[in-house]
Amino acid sequence: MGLFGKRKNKQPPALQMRGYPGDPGTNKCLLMAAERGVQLETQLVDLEERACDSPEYRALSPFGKVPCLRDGDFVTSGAPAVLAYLDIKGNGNSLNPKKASILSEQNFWVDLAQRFADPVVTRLVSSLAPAAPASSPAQLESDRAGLTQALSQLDATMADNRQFIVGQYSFADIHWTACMHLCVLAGERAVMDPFSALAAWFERVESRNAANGQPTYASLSSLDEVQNKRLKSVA
Amino acid sequence: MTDLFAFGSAVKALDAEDRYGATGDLKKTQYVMQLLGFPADADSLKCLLIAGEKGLEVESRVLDISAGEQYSDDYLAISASAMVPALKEAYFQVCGDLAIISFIEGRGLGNRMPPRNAAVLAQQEYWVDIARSDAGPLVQAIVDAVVIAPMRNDGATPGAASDVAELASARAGLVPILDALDAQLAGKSYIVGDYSYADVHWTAYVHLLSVAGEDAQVRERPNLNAWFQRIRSRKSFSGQDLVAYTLMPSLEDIRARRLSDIVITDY
Repeated sequence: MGLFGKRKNKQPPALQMRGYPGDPGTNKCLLMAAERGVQLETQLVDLEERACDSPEYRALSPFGKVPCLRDGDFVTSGAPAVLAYLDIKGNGNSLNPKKASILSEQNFWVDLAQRFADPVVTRLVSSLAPAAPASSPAQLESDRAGLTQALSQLDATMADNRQFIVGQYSFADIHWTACMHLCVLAGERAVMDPFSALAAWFERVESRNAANGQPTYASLSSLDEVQNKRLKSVA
Repeated sequence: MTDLFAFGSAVKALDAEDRYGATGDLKKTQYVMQLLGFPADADSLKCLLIAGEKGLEVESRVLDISAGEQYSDDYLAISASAMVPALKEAYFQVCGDLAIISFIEGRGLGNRMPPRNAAVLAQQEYWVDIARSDAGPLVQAIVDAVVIAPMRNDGATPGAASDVAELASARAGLVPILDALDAQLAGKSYIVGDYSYADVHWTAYVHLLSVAGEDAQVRERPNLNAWFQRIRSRKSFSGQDLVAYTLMPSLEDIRARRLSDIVITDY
């Protein structure tokens, strides 16, 4: 075996990530790690208990951003930074499209997910906590309406016979898969009912395997993990 | 329904000579881009900055968000979620700062701007995230109260007690963020070392702070102040004879609802 082959066989140590099972950003990073074949050891940051404001956590993430990733001496936090890091650290090509128009389209969908879906999904999922107060009917209605508006745009795009949001699998699918998964856990699967192309896309991402053959969707938090505040690792 | 992109050279056929830039040098590769934005909107300014840095010509049209034009049927036909700004090049159009910045960067001249090293790329994304999620809403609150509110002719009284409290809260919220940015810039020319998207985002916010009379927030932080002076005079990333910062609107431009075009003559 040549020098380079020997080096390639060396298994890199797992990265360490702190996150919360009901947090959209944490789930996006779990999915990205599974998709890119990156091992993650995880530890809970209990957002319900405001653990992201503890001095110990703030020493790692000065603005309390979740999740937080450590790779040796390198530490970063917040889903955009962690996702970018995991994407580069993974196997094979980056999920970022190379063509400017497709990259731009990807980033439009990422932006839409961050601005419109993440806040709604966070509120929906927070209602799953055992001691959570029930959302007001008006808030729930407003959340569903906002999400439906974004999903109708997504459905119109997917209706163009696309396998994934911008054609090829990309960051846009990572963001929206995590958001829709948490909606399903929160009992809001019906929000996808009017949108057949979106529902077909969701079935595709639910059954997707990474390049290493491992199913990626299983890396997302389960209902039991959300309710019992357990965060799984990515092997 | 009015096509808001039907202005400037776009009213001519795609193969018309001046669809390819002032000197025609964009021919067969790129068309002049069209931007719908607002001079007091940080996201619009980021798009002008990146186009200036990457040497691309842009024709701008003001979308008057002080009058709620982003919710008009004409604009919602372009951006269903009312995301501002919007950009069009020939048949391709997209909206929102993240999408437009990456499109212009990819279409522009010179080397790729995003760092290739994973750790540096993550640092860039971290500082973009802090800019957009943490600093952005506070800067916009200050700009809304100080700059935009007086432009609205809606009977509201600028300087009302609620505005004063909101301003004080926004200023206080910015202190730890600007302190962290100042610390990050220690010993560096730019936020993550080389010029990156992080500088594009922060330039827009720091410029708007300055326009809103908050210069002291920058001046009292030596590293941030030195960075801002560098930004104000740096030549474009792609080597054109253009200082992108000169595209930023003055307070007078904002009040007059003027947004710069970008003309490149030295391809």
